[in-house]
Amino acid sequence: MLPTLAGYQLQLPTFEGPLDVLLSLIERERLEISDLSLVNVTEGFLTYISGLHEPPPLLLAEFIGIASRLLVLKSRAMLPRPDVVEIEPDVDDLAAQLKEYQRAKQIAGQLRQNEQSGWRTFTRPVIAPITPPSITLVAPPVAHLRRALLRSLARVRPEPQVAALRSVISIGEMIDRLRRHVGRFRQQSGFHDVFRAADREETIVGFIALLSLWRRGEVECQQDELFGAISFAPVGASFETTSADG
Amino acid sequence: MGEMINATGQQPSLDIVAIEPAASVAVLEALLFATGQPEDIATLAGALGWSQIEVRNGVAALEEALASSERGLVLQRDGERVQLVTDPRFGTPVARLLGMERTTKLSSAALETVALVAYRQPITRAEIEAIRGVDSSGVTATLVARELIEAVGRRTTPGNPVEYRTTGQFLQFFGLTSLEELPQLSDPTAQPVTQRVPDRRGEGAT
Repeated sequence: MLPTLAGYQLQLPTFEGPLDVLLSLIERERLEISDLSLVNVTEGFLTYISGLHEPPPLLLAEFIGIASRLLVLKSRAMLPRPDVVEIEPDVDDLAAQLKEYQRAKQIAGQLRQNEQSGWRTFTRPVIAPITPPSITLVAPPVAHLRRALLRSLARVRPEPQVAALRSVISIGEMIDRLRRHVGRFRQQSGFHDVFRAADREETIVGFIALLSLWRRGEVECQQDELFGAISFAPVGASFETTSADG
Repeated sequence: MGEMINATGQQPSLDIVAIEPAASVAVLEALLFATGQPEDIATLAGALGWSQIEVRNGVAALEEALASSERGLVLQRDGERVQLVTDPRFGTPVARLLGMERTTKLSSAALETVALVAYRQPITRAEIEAIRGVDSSGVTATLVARELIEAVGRRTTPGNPVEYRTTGQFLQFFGLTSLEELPQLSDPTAQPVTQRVPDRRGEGAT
C-alpha cells in the first residue's frame, strides 16, 4: 500500500541537516507529517546516511540522532500494543518538530523570494535634529560687570612703540668720509671739531677710522698730551702748534 | 481665527488638541514623514496630545488611505511601532537610486532561522536548535550582526537563556508591512513544540 523506500537514493542537491532530508523524503511521497509517515521513510533516511561520503562528525552525529528517534518510532509501531494504552507524555515528538521545521522552511521560502525579487521597503534617512543649547540670560551684578570690564581692559595691548631707525655707518664708510674731508681741506682738522655733531657710536667709529688711516700712512695725527685734543692732517701738511684746543 | 494675535492679545493656542479628527490622517502622515524612524503609539499620542485610542484610529485610517489610493508609501507596523516606508513594489528602483542593491544573499540556514524567529518570537537559541535539529550558534550570530534579529532579554528559566526577536530592519529587508504578512502565522492548527500533543501511537500502526 505504502511505497517502499528501500534503496531510495535522494538526488536533491544540499540539505540543511537531517530534518531537511526527512522533510524531503516525506514530501516526495506526498505524505502528511505523522508518526506513521516517519516510520515509512525510516529506511530511506538510513539509506541516505549510508550514502554520505565522509560526513563531518558533528553532522553525522545529528543524522544518527534523528535516525535513532526514527527507529524508536518504528519499533513501537511493530510491537504488539497492550489493550489498555497508557497515556504517557511523549517527550520526543519528532512529528511535531518536523511540522515546525516545515513551517519555518515555508516562510524561509517566501523570504527568499522577497529577497531575490528586490521586494523591500525603505525609509527616509534619519536626520539628527539640531538642538541648540538652551541659554537663559540673567542680569549680572554691577560689580561683576566692572570686574569683567577691567579684565578686558587689562588685556588691551599697549600702543606699539615706533623704533626710530638710525643709520649705522661702517668703519669703511667712515674711512672714505675722512679721506674726502682731508682731500677737501688739505689742512689740519681738529677731531672734535669734525665730530662735534656726531653721537657717541659715530665718534668711536670715526676714531677707529682715523687710526686706520694713520696706520696706512694717509694722515698724520698729533696729540699734545694724554687725553688731549687730537688733530689730523693729510701727509705733508704742517701742524699748527695749538695748545688752546683742548 | 487666522490672526496671529487675537482680541485678548494672547497668541492663539498651538495645542494640537485643536486639530480636527478629519485632519488626523494628514497630521500622522506629517509626523511619520518627519521622523523617518519607527515611532510607537504612545510617543505619537504624546506629540499630538491625543489619547492612544485616537492615535490608533488615526493610524488605521492613514494605513487605509495609503492603501486605497495609488501611493508610493505604505505603513509598516512592528508591534506598537509604526513607520512610513516606501512601497515594497518599488524596492528595486529605490535600492538602485540609493546604491543599496543587495550584494550578498542570505544562506538557507539563515533564512530558516530568521523565519523561525519571526513566527515563534521571542525564542531562545536552544529552541531554534530543537526545531532545526542542527547547531545554530553561528547562524544566530550572523543574523544578529546583520540586525535582522536582536536579543531582547533573558528568560526566567534555568540558565536564563537569551531571547531573540526580529527587528524593524527585518521587515524592511524583506519588504513586509507587518509580521502578520508572513504565511501561516494565523494557522490555528499549528502548535509549538513545547505544547506536546498526546501520543497517538495507537492510531493505525497497521
